[in-house]
Amino acid sequence: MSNVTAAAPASAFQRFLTLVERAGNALPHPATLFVALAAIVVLASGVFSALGIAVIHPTSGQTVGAVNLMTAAGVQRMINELVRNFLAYPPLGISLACLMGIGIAEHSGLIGACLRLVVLASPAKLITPMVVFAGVMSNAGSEVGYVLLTPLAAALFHALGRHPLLGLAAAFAGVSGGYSANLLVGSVDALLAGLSTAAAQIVDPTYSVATYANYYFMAASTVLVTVVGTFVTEKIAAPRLGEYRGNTPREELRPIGAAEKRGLWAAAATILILTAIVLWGVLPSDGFLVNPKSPHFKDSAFMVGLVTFIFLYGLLPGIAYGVGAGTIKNDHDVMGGMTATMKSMASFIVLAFFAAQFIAYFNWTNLGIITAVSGAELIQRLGLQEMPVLLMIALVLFAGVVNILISSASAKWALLAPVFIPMFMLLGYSPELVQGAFRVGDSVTNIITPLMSYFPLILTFINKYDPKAGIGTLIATMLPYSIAFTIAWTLLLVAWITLGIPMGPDAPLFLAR
Amino acid sequence: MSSSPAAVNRSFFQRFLTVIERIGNTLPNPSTLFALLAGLIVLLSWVFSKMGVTAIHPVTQQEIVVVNLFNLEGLHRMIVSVVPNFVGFPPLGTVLACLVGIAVAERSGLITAALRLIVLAAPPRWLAPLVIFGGILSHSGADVGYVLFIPLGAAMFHAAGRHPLAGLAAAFAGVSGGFSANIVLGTIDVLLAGITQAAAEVVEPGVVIHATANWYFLIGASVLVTAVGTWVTEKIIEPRLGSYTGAAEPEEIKPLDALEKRGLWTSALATLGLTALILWGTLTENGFLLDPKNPTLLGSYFIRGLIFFIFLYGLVAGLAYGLGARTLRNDNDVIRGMDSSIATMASYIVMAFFAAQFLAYFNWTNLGTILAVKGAGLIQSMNLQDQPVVLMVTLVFFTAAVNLVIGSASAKWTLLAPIFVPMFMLLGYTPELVQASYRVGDSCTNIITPLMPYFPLILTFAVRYVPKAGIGTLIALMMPYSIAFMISWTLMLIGWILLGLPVGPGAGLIRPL
Repeated sequence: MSNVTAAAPASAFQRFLTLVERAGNALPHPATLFVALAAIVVLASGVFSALGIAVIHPTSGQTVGAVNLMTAAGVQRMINELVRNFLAYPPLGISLACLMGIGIAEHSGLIGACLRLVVLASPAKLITPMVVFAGVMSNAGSEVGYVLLTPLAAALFHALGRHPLLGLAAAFAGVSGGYSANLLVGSVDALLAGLSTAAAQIVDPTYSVATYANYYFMAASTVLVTVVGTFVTEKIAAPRLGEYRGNTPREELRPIGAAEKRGLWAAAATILILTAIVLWGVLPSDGFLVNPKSPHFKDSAFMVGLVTFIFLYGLLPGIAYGVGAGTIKNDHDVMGGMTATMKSMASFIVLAFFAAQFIAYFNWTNLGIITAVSGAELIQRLGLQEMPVLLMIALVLFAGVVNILISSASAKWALLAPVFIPMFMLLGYSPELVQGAFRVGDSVTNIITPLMSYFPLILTFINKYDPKAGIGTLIATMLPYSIAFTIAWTLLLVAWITLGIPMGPDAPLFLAR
Repeated sequence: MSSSPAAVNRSFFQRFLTVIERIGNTLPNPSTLFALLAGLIVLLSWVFSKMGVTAIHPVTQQEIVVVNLFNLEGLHRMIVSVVPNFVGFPPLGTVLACLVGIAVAERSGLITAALRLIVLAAPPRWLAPLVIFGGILSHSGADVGYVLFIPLGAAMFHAAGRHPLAGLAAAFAGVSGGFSANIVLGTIDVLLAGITQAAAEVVEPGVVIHATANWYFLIGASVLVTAVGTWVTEKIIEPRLGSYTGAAEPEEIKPLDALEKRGLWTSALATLGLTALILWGTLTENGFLLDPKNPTLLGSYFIRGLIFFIFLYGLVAGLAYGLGARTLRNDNDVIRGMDSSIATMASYIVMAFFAAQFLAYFNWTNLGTILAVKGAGLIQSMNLQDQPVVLMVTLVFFTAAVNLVIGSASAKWTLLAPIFVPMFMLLGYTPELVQASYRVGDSCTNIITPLMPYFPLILTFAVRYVPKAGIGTLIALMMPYSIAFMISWTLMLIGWILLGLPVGPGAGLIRPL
């Protein structure tokens, strides 16, 4: 009985997802779509600027109007900044640099051997939660999760005989849908706390929000995202994707041979030595990777130059494995491996070229800022002051919607914090709680918006397994995660408020009156 | 009698080139080489900074010291700058952005159809001068020649049944070896004139150097480079290369069919339409491409955003051809074409990654600047003041030598102009003449230095036809051009001085003392 009732709504939902996928894939090629979106932004900028829409920036107090790009100056800016937009698009340099190193690990056979080792050694049930959890935790290393973890998870699931897109979806859900959750305090915590402090001081000039302000809540969220992500992967995404019938050959699950064992030992030794060097560089207060001006770990050359270390961690163990296993004979093999990886990234480069123009145009128009500020004003005028929990949920949902347009957490919070923090503070809620609520919304819609800067990269990874997959496939695959995370995470927040648990150390929910 | 010593000479010279090629090709993979060179720079910076080498900057009068990279500060800088160096490598964005547009012209079949048209129409004798002269004309379009014209030169020769590397070499010689020669003035003339003027004002305050300062000389040089380049291509390079036995398939030279003709017509119409639009934007008063602050063609957004227009011309002309000739059916064909073009650039991207690090390290150390200033000081102290022609020739050769390590024309001239322009002015020679001599040296050695930022790109093009081609192949291929240009161009300069011809409108050789 429960089976039947469970199946009926699921199938309606599945039909809905299929519809989303069809509609999404009926759209033109993603690159064409970014061109069309860029054109729409230009048209919209003309319309909104003709309408004279403007808002007051909550921090600077200046009037922000829509910038019209349908002018000579707008066209000139597009012409002039074509290359700059492309090169300044953050995923471009980061992804290519990381993948050059990781490419060696892949082409030498190291990653394949490791995958087989993992698959042969670990129980299949634990793989999905492991992938989601690793995705959530990867955010401590900025955007590495997108570049490294999503393709790896796809390969892992593929090796297991499951659908590769399933692994990719689980990792993407962890990395991006669970963006705010973490067991470690990262650089985004510091950024947001700074913005919250500035906003809180509008009401209380002595108020200060600490970097670890949301630590308890985010630690619990890590568990929540892992559990919910695993559930969605196994119960919704897996039945939907079914069996993989694509042409990408599977990593054969034969036992590790003698040459491969030698390679793995060489790689392991290299990783150990490299790690020892890094630890020796960051742990002592005068270590060679510590920034003398700011001896925090997050300011060390290791963290600031993390991409370089990803590159090295791919390159050196890859070479060690290749030499040990006999798959790399000279430097031509190494550079050939990098070249092969760059070849596979060609469609990403094309996509990035157009996506970067679109995102730049959108930022020039101020349309994102205007949406955020006018939406925040609307919520303020809803008259929900009597029902703070509802207001908090409205904040979560609103942040989720704005996140579809402005994906940068700090850019969004810079606009929203000065509106919401004083408003909730006057109602007696602490800035830490408001920040926590914001971060829920900031995460859950990352995975369904083509404006998220790593979206094209994920699409490129999908196309390796399914050349016909488009934006629709990716959105339809991720939509269940997005919905499940929104519901579960909001419930967690409501429960948190109801139970009165502090958001972090020294971060109560309510202001002392 | 006269032919046999020439034959002996030539065969000796050919043997010398073969030795250069062998030595050059025993070098590791170009990417590895750039990585090694980067390591070498770090060591050199340590050695020279320990030796306390310094120089006085001729403009700022500040002391320039060698920046040691072999310390913690240097290490941190290298670690955190990997991605900025990579995406800040000037050719990378230019190459990829242009290519995304040109890909459409290539994929639609426009380029091959146009190639066949040219090869069918032009007598074979005219092919080499055509390619070289086209290379010279491409200078008005900044670095476009490298990206667009050089592969075209190779394809044209290949289509005509000649060795594609000979076409590549001829085009490269025109674009880069004849860098200073031009019929139409470009942005580089404006840049150099500004630097010359600043240096000349030391001696004669209020002097004005026009962008046209070297125009006559550069027109003469265009004829010279075309003639000498053709001679080298046909007498030295083609006998050396022999007939092409590689695997790349030449474009079959069959007459154009009806569909292709229709495609060419629609493409020509679209190109004309776009050109009319640009002319309307740049030539009319208050045109939409003019900068209100500097309403000249050279200051317009057409010139400043030339890459955008290369992209646009490739896209528009390619689409028009594809629709006319029915080779492009939908946007997927277009985007796939872009993907496969970018994929051919994979090895270039890898090379660019390492070359960018190397060039950045080299610039950080100040070694190039110090070398230029020291060398200029040495020439000054050689007491050649009584033989200005010898001094002028020394300037040409010295510039050519410095050009091996500092590729940028304006960066080099910024260092050299304040030393040489006043020196020659005091001897009674005009700044315009000094600038003309400088530009001879600035051109000839571009084609034989792996430090020239586009060198890796040309190598990538060469490898398409000869997979085993290395740095040595390319240097040996270009060396004859470099030597021939050097000798003939210097002779032309001496002849110009002896005949007393002006180097540009209103730019005499001798200034009244």
